[in-house]
Amino acid sequence: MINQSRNGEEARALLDHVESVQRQTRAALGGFWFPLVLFGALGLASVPAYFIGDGAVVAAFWAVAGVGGGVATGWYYHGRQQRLGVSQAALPYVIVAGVLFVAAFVLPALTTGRLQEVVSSFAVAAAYLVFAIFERSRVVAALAVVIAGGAVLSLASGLDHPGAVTAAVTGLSTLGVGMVARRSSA
Amino acid sequence: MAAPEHPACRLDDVVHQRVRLGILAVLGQADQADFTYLRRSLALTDGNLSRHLGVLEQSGYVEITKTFEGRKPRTWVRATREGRAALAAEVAALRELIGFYEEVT
Repeated sequence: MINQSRNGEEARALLDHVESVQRQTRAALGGFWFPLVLFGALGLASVPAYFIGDGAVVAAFWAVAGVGGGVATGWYYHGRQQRLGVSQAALPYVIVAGVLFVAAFVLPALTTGRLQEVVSSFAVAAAYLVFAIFERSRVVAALAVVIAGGAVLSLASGLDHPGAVTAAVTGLSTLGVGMVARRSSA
Repeated sequence: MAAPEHPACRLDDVVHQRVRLGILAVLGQADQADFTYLRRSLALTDGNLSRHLGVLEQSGYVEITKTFEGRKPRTWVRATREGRAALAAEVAALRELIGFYEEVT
């Protein structure tokens, strides 16, 4: 009986050790505050573009900001990997970001009217949901829900420029979550 | 009728060791980690870590790559597909073992 209980305790201790090391590694890898702060700020900066001309200005803004933000995020993660000595696989993130980038340009071309202004936000929300699964982050999942909810509300509200409202909600919430994530990872 | 296999039979001798399990647990979460990160996060000495990495490498559970950054050497370690599978199997066997002893006692 003593031997059995010891074997069970040993197995429990090893499993606890594995889970503790996994938690510690995930915490070390959790640098996702940077893309959130960056794209949150870019989202806010995009708001005036919705008041200028048609959707072409918004598209031009995100063509430059999306590529620039992606390069800056890659540079940040590379530097972090070199500094910490641990990295996570970049390919799944690059694929999701690439799909989002394409969807953000294709979806408005397939829609019309008020939906055309906010449809990209649904693609952003879907991408954040996938990132939340990758990062095992409930906060990022909640952010996806807030972004999708903001898009639905701005559509239903009948306000002028629903795209500007959605961009403001997306930018503010993403920036806020990024800043909280930065504080908790410091 | 044969008696059911004891869950301890499914434990892998290479992985069923605290340090090696810790190394695979880090590499199971990360794409790769360097020697210094593994040494620090698992609170090991250089020699101890090298010895256990050697065992894991020989079993095909990790790949070790040595690079130079400027003049400074750096050793990166990555879990192979077999290493990730071995970690998953070990965790499953440990869970089963815990359940087995909880039933018995």
